[in-house]
Amino acid sequence: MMTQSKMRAQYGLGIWGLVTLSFGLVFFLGGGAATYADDSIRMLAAALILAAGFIGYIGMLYLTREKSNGKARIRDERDLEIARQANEIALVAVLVFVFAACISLFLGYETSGSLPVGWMWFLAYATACFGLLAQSATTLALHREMSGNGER
Amino acid sequence: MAKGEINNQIRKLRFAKGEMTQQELADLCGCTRQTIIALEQEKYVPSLILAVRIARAFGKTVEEVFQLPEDNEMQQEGE
Repeated sequence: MMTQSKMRAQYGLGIWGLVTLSFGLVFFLGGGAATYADDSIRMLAAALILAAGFIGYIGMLYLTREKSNGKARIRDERDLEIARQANEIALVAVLVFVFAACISLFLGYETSGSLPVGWMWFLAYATACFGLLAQSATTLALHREMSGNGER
Repeated sequence: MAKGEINNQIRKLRFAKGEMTQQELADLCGCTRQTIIALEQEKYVPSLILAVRIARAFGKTVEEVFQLPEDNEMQQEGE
């Protein structure tokens, strides 16, 4: 039986991977940042995608909750330690992502003096997706590092 | 948390205790079977509370179950 944190990280990676991909398609295939803020259909689609992601994620957290009649423990100190380390790493990853994105936008639009407001939407959505993806991926990586595969 | 920070005799003691399964030990100690697996492979260093619970499950002291690598080296040098 898989532990709760590993199960949640796997589902989380799937949910946020799908949300990131869907948002990327909506954002970039419809004209990118230049037309995003003026296209209410794309903005609505992106909002619905993110909302669906959060609803799915909360639903998944509920479905994978610790049940009182569970025979075996599904979470322990190792899971909490993995969660703590994953949150730390994900926080730094998000900081680096936001820094890199801001610098890239600055360098890209430095000469024009202004940038399409669509990039602000992108930054907001992408930061949320990236943070949650990073947290799930790091949790899985730490589970891999801090576990054996012995079934003895 | 890195591998090799602490050695343990959990697998040996588990088999000595009537082929106790990892799940049985996990249930006795209040942790998951995955943590027992990680401990046996020395990929996880337990908290003091868990170390004491594991030692108690085997009727041993913590030091009989867990050893620092330098303790083993000193023991080998002594021999």
